Amino acid sequence: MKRRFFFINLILLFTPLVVAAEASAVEFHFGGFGTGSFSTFNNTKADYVLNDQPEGPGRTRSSDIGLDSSLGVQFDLGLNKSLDLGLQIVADRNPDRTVTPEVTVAQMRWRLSPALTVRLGKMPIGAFLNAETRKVRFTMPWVRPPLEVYSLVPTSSRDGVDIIHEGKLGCWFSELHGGLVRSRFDVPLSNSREM
Amino acid sequence: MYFIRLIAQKPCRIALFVLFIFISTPFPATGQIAIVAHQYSEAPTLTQQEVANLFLGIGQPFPQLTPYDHNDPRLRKQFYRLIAGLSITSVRAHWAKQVFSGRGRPPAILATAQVSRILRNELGAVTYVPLDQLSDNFKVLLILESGDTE
Repeated sequence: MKRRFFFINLILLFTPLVVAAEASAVEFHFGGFGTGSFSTFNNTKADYVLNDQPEGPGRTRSSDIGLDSSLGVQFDLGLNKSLDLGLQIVADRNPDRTVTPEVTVAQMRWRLSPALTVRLGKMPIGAFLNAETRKVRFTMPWVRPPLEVYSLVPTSSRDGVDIIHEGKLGCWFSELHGGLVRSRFDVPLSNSREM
Repeated sequence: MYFIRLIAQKPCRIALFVLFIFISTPFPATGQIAIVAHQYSEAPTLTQQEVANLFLGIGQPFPQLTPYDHNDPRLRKQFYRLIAGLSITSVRAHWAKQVFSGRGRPPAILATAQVSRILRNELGAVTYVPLDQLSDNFKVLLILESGDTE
């Protein structure tokens, strides 16, 4: 909690400086995404689960609506052309069997130049090609991301500061990330109810 | 089982193949589309790839240009198919990825009546219009032929 408070302080510190330098219209955007699912699995010995889920269809219950269902909202505040704040809250099945909404993104993006962007706060993890929007299911080519790759980093956000450099090499686009981030996630010990 | 036996028969296989070819053939586009800007715009003549990158927000090739989209569904559909080979659903998925990862926002959508006004008032505005509705007061950056990507 102490760490999060530190980021809020930094955001408040940066904002007046940039707004004063480049006064323009403030933009506010609100958006959302969601997936509804119903799954069945005719196995009584094991559950079919995704990433950090403690239970799913199968052993716990034959039919389940929690395997893929999720609901997310996002608020974006564009203070000017180079600075914006974003907040994303997503509700889906948590490791503790609840569906309590969690903050997945609370970041400040500062575009220093067309090629250079600094992100600060709680930001999406870009470890794999579709990892930044893994909660927005309809943007992915699969029903759910392949666990052989995506479960290597089974969380969708991290805290810290991230510097992104976007470049162009002929017809190829490159994106380099550097920074200091920390990622924390809970993993259920087993899918047993007696844990 | 009856259904599996039915589609295994030769006439049925041929019919399915013909149906597949029919479905997978792209619907021919009608008319040409012009990419236009303010008449005194300093924008250079663009390539198809540059227009695609500009309208899809990839790499931010021209920071001084602001793309504007159309609310006419047929024109939009034809434009994105010609420029990037994308369906409107794919374009929507692309922008959902950009928006929900905080990378950018889609171009503002204009009604047909607003197009002329925006292009006259904003030096950096870029949009697309059917070639037969093109006015002399705009600078043409690219003309998309209807068979460009087929």
